[in-house]
Amino acid sequence: MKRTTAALAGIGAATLVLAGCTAEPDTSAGTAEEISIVVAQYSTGTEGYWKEIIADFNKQYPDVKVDLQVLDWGNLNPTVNTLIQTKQYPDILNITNYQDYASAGLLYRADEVLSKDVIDDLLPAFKANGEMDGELYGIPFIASANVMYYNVDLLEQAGVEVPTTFDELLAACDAVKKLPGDVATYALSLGATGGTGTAAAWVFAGGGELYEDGQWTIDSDTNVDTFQYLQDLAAAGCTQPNPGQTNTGDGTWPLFAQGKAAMVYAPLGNVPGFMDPVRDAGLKVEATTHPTNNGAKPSILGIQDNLMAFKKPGNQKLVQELLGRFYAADQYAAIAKTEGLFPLTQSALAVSLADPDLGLTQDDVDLLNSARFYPNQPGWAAANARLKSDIGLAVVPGADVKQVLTAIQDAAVAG
Amino acid sequence: MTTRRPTGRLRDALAPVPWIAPTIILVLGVIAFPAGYAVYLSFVGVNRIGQITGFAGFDNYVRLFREPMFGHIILNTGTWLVVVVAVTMVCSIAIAALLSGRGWGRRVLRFALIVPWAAALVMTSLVWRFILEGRSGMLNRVLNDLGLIDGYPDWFRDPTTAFGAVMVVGIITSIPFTSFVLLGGLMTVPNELVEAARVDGASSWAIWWRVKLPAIRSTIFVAMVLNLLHVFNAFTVIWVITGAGAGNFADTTITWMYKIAFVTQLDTSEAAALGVLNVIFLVALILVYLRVAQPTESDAPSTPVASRIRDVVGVVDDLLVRAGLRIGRTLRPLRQFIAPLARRAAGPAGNVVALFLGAFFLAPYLVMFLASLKTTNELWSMPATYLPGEWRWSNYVDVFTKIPLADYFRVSLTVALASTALILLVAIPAAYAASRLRFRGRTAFLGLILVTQMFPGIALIIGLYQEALLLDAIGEYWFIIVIDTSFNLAFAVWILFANISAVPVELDEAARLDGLGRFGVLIRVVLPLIGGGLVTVAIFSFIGVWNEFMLALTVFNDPAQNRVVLTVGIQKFVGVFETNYQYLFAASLMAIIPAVILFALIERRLVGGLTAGSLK
Repeated sequence: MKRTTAALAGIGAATLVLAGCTAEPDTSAGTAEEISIVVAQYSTGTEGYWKEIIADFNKQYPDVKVDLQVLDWGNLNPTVNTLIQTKQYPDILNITNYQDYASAGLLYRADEVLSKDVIDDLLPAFKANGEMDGELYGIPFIASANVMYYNVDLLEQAGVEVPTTFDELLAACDAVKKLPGDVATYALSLGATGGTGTAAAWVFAGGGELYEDGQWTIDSDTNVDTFQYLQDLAAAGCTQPNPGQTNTGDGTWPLFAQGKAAMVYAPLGNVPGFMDPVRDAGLKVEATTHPTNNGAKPSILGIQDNLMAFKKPGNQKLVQELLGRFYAADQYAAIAKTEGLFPLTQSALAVSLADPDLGLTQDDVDLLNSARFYPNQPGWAAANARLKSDIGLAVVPGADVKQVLTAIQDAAVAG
Repeated sequence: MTTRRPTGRLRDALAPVPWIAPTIILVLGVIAFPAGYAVYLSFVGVNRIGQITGFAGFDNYVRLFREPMFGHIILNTGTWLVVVVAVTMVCSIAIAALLSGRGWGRRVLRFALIVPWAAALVMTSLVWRFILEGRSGMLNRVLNDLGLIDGYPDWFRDPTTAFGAVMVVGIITSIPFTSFVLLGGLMTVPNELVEAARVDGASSWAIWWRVKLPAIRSTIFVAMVLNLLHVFNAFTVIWVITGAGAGNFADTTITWMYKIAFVTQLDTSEAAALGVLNVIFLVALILVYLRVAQPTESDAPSTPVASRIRDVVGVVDDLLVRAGLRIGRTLRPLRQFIAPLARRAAGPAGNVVALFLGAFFLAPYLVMFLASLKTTNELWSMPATYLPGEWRWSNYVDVFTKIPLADYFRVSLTVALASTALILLVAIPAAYAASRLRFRGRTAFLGLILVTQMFPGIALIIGLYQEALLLDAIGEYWFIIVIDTSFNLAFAVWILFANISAVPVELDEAARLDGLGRFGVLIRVVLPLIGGGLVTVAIFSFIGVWNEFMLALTVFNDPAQNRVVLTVGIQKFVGVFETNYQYLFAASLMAIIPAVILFALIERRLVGGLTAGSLK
């Protein structure tokens, strides 16, 4: 449908009609006077580097007003939803899911707003994760590589090796439980913020998949076994109580930092929320992969957040300028350092490797490149929302695991 | 003015217009539009990212009814409503009775009740979440030290106790306001009545049961209905404490609405349908409320519907009274035990009880203060520590460098002061007209502004944003001030209405005979007599705006121009991977202090101002 048709319709009808199709806005004409950037709050440092980028941008474009909104994750979704519904598209948005916006035809392709040099510089595994129908829409922003950390001293005191299989973890639990001070063997976080990551890491560790050969496999028998195992683990007192209601930042990580948990799911690197308390407490910790089952290949979970640029009249050039500044190797590496996460270009990663403060090794980079990801499928947004809210129910004592997983599977299939 | 003066009936009919028009314009302009938009959304399809896809008939409602959790949530909501309101009422009556005595302990308790009332609910909820933590929670530390429990129950995480935990917090946060309303009622019971009963040889138990309680029956009812509405729309307590847990163990329709829209189903239209159903339920409550809270008989001709509702309310009323009497009779054998207790409660022992209760209500804020001085690691130490191992006073300095706290204060102050002034300016004439001018539709007018209190803010957000766009008012001071004014207007008009109605009409008439116009009467005669009510409304409005979060976040959040209010700004300490409780609490305490000082200053007048006139 073309704009002329919409113009003929009444105002009320126009709202309904226009929503179903997408009028192609003329993005080259003129120059926008205002640019809005909506990003998630990773840490108290987030606002700082965006302001630096904007200040630098304003030196060249003093007349363009850049409106920056840094929102905590709880408020990000409602706010962005409101913006989209009222057609106040941000120019640059930082959020996980890009597929819905791309399918609605709202986004620029990456090559329209990013130089070829930067695109070629992106780590291939992460770039692939931002592609839909062979085109890059979700520009890799920053990533965490999620692993299992363990408390070296606690495992030594218990006299056990780092468990590499599900059975070994159960065996280790028997030994750790005997330690004084009520130590949880594995601190499990399946609560509604961050539960998705933990759940996916265990799915892969259990030899299962979320999506395979064009099919959703969230409620496969393998996955049912995995979550039944976790439920039993909790029931046996090998985790902290109520893992289904526990999150990382205010749950399992403080537990680990207090020396009350032997193992925990956490991002590799220097995320301040995890690492600072661990360092302050003087704990000796090491990172490894999660114990596996069914002969699964040990893996780490890469979680990538994306930047996306919305098509709006006259904003293309300005967005290009802003993103260019963002991805300049030194700037980008500094941003990643602030958040304790990984930059996703070769050049910035090289800067990070050379930074003695970070203590990053080539091994870490190799690990990063071998990361596994959430399914890059249109149904994932719905599945993720349902998974986040409900996966914790699978480890409530006596819960029907299959039923919980099927509800998530249904959400994925419905899309 | 116009050249042609309307005459007779027309003039009478138009007389109230200038008095009440500003209120009506604000209420309709700010609340009717988003409310209408919410209704519209409930009949269209909206996709996951918020785009409207077309007319959907009743699909959204059908989908809502088919949700597997629907029954569970309704049951939860009913339980929440009944338990929280009932326990709050019983506790508040007891506390009000205690407060109506004399002694230093009571003064402490009164102050202690002001603090949670003046604190933003989001801050109070955060500190309760912190207190209720399992291994590192202060509650468990205290209970273990007292030998009451052995172990560290996960109060708000364990699905079996989560709902109970939020109900307890819901009750604790509802008690202060309710106690003060009831205290106001108790203060108006004429001393002669009590004296006469005493001369007749009635025991203090009998005086309490037969004289005082019946005398404040209408206050009790008002307090109960106010509570009902407040509790029904309660979002913050449940959301902050259990929002991040899996499943719907502690959800009511309000928190579920939010989850449907933005967390689990990502379906704003289904959420809108739930919002509409919520409002319908509440409108039914309002009809009852109108019948009950209306202090004077309505002058409007009674319609069959209205009279039927009145009958129903009458029956319910009678039932309640009869049930009360029956409970009283059943409890009579107990009075030989209770009477001595009650006598003692009037003496020094009462002071001790009051002191103990005061400590209980202040405790969360003491925890907040001590936590604001701890290091991150100590915040999570297991078990919790009472005093900081190392007193980090620098947290209070650091918080100013981590966020532009001084700017947030300035912005919040500007918005709150301007809104308070506007509220008074608009509400005073409206309340005066509603009390003094006998115009048609007066009841409807009072009802209309009450309706504004019924809409859960969450249901209105998208509509409000849409409206702000139409007016090109995103991030504009005037818009947030107008919105805050409209949302706080109902309370102001109702309290002022009650206060003005308590001023004898004869005074007006005398002044008018002396040649004063209506406006002159209002300024020179009425306002000086309702000082308590004015101060109450001013402080209430100020605190309400000062603590508001959701509206400001949506339409007034522009860090680039330094337009961020305090409650929104301190959320910056809630990051993806960390919650900096120490800074959050330091900033919260600094925000609470001005509110508490304001409340403490007017505390004496507050009690009178709240209930004047509502129970002649």
